[in-house]
Amino acid sequence: MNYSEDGGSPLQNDYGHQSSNTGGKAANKGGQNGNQKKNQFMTPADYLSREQDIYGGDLNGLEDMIDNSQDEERQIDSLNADHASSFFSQSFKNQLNQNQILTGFNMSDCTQNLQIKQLQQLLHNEKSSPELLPYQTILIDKVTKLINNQEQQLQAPVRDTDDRFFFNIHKMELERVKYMLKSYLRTRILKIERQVVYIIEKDLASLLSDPEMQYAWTLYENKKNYFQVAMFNKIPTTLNPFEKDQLEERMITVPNSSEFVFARFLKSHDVFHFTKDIEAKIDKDNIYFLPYSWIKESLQVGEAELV
Amino acid sequence: MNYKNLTPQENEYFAENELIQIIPNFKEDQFQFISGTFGPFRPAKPVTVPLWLAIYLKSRNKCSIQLPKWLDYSCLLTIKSIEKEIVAEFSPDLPYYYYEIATLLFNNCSDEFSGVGQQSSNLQKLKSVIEDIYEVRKEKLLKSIRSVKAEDTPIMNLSSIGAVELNQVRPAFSSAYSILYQMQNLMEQNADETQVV
Repeated sequence: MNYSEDGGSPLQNDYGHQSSNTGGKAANKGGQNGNQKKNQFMTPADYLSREQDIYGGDLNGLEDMIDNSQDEERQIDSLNADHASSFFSQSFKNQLNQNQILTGFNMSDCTQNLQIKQLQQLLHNEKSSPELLPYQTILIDKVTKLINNQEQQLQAPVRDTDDRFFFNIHKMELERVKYMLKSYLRTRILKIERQVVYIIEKDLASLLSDPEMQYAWTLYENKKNYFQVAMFNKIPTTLNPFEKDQLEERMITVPNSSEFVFARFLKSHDVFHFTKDIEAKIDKDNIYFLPYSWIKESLQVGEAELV
Repeated sequence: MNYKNLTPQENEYFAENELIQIIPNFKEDQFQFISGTFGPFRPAKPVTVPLWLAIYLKSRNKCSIQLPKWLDYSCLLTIKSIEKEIVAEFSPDLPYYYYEIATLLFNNCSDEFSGVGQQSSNLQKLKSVIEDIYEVRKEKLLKSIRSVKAEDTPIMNLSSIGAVELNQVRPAFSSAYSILYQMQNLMEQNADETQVV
């Protein structure tokens, strides 16, 4: 149960690092050295430490800033991360009410940060959807900032045994949030690796963050170079699909958008039109088993979540 | 590695984020977490905290955990009989992570289950009734998901199914039905083309 000792997540596999290694290997094959690789794309871990670097020089000023901005940053009940958020906070309140009825507890004495709840929802969506979902820049930046603030605060040395105990609890909580964020970024990296040709050829850069796009480009270029060295140098140029302006459709693996998913609707509809022939009554908070393409729009506006 | 499927450990992690009530036996100010503020902690005053914190404090003998309302023998028996009665739906009286929460509580605070006037086998009874509910719901889920018609209306309302049941059917059924659905679409396309000709 004690996650704080090793500073790790409940699951130890750090895919972020794994994938950066595979990228590194490919980079070496392409004839680039390790140092260049480091500058070219960021691993999720680099991404986490990015903001720390920015503030690194001025720690005293930062502490003041944290004190002032802490409550503002946490945004307990209001949230403006994106357009879907007001709906999200409403549906979250409903969930909380439902939870209170189920457990019989009065939970009014605690306040939860909706951003973390939203991150959990994002992670679930990302894990279950066949397509890569848009990167939530604002939310992720905010969560990264919160993590860095908390990390700074936990740097003060603690001597008292009693304080040490509570210090460890805060550290555990920090590691749990970090795990969730890393898990989200890792899931995306895995998806990007699988769909890299599709992402580059169809120009889906709007779905990716800058470091992710850099990573995708490097991976794509290295793959291309590798194919060139391993095979295309030995066959006529006309047979090389990369020499053409565009890859043929059949050579691109398109994510299967009709894949069946389990989704929870956060809003009821008396009649919900999935296609022009098919309609159904949708009940709030119920879980449905249906093709992904049908729920895509509800997912985008935050009226449904994948589970 | 398949990123799509959640491991039981990941589900346990999410279950640990659910809230539960404890009665602390120490005095401390609010905990200012990233995920929210909890407390202040005063002896004998119930406080809502995430499950992982409750279990951690419990392991250090710093609190006693209040069991959720649904984790009660008579309550679970009612749920079980309801589950057996209704064929198409699942009882909404259990939370999404009911199995994980119950298992975590069974393993980490077994002493909370032997209340006053209760038999000492209370924990065993609870464990077996949770298992029973899980089995009943699993059977029902398999039955209803088998009845999904990919060619007709490929949608199925599973009402409030739990994470543990979903996890079992997700990998197999999700890909199987995707293939069925694609084949159906292909057949329709072919049928259209032959009509045009």
